[in-house]
Amino acid sequence: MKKNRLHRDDPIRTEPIRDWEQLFRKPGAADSLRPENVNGSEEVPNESEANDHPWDDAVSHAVDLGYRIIEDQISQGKRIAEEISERTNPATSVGSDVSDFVRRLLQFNTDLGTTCLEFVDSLTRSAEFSQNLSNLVDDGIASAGNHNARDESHETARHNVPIDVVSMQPARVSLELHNNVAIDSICVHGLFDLDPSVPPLTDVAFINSEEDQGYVLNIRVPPDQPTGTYAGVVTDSKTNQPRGTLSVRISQEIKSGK
Amino acid sequence: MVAAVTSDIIPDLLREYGNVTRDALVGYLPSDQPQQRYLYDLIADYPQRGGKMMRPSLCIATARAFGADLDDALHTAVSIELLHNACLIHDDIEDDSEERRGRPTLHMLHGVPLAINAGDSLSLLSLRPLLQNKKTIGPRLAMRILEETERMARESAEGQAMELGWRWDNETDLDDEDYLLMVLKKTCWLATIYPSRVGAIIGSRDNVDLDAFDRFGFFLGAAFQIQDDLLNLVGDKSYGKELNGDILEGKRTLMLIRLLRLSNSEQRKRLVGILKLPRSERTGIQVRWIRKMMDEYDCINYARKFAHGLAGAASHEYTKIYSDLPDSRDKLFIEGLVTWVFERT
Repeated sequence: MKKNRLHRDDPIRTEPIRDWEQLFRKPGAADSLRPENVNGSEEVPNESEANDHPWDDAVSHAVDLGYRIIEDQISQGKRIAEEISERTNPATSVGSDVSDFVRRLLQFNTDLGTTCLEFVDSLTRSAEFSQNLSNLVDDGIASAGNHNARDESHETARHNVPIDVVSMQPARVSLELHNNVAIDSICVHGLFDLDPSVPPLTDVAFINSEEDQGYVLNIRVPPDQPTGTYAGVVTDSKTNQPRGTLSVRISQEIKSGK
Repeated sequence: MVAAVTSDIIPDLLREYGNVTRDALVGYLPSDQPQQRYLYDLIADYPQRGGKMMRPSLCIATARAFGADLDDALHTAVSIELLHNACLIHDDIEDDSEERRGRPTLHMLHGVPLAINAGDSLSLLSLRPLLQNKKTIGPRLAMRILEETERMARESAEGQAMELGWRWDNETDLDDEDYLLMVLKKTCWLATIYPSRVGAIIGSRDNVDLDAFDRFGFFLGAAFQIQDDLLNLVGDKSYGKELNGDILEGKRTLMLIRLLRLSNSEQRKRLVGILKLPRSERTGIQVRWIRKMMDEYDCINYARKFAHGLAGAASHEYTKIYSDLPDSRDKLFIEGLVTWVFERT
């Protein structure tokens, strides 16, 4: 059976319609543009009226509705995109980003500093580390020939050997011990001045003291001991090997505080 | 003679781009795996059944119309087709459909649990080609396409939720605007808007205003969907799904919404009562009555004209986008899709 061909009337327009809003209008909108309706009330047909002209109205209704929906969708998409952009665009959030970066940097430094201090603290509480550090420093000082540059308290702390000096005159003590010294077997036989005629300091001994819970270096300086520097070798009493040096400097300058 | 040219160019390019996409897609389907029987064979089923390949072809053609190489758009085209097939598996379960592309649906063959799992896997598999984009079009464009994919997936899920929700609540107070909004989200984003947008991003290196592609894709996709729904009522066996299946499923098509608004109170009461029933309790007599009522109220013709109007707007938007680009087969293909929508059987 031969199908009937669809025939449409020739279009009224004589040139392309460029104005899209004029091309697709709401049903009946075209009527309002007719001369007889321009000054009158504009009536938009209801659905039952629309059904009287189904071919025209279904098409224009679809296009009009379609544009409204897709324009709403595009606007919605742009709003969402702007929101996302504001959250992610560095240009709009540089202030908060920088402050956040600085805050995190400070926090990092604080954390790192705390960690370092805790690390150093734990090291200084380690007897083995203290001993090694002491020897390392002592070696450096010895190589520089500066045997007399440290005070009493410094020595005590470095060796963990308390030094007890009994002297009417100001005295500065320097104790240097080698690595792995057995503190219970070392001794000092006497501290001598460079001038052989000056009497040595002989009341020098490492004594195990219950009060100090360990060995203490006791030095007693006679009241009439001449000023000068007295030095001696710390030796291991079992092997007779040198284990360090001890010097005591008696000086009037120290007394006067100069 | 545009019509004469496009009548050949549409099937030609659908075949050409479809074959290229399908060949590349096969490379993403795992084979000889321990779970081959229960997963990977199921994943490969729908893609191997054919299909029109309109979505990947639109993506490739858009990219090429803007000057890109085919290979630049191929990964994205494969991803689109994989995701489309994943959605079909889940759609068939949600709609309780029995046929897809002339054969039983996946859940009819293997059961709902395995079909759901295959759909999930296919969805995730569709991400892999998008990651490959980094090598072909660079990380910036690859990232842009991932952003577009996230938007498309969200819009599609919202549209599907709208339609399923309407059926769940037996919503009968709907109008054409509700329908178009649902179709915009459920169909147009994956079928036409997303392929157009990502194709334009690839072809122009993300240097073109994408709003016009939203309009073109929406009008084309909506016309496509209405025609698809019409074919479900008036199509032949080559359509691939059971005739009047949409009525049986209670699907809120433009024709059904029209019927609900035009029918008298007694007819409407009966109609609402039928739609309230579970699918399994709807009878052939009830389906045929609804179909007859659609003819009585001229719902078919109304929907057809509605679709023609949308197609006209799609043509208008096409001109706004493509008039300044050099002539090419791809331009003719995209233009021809507007009329091809109605030439399908």
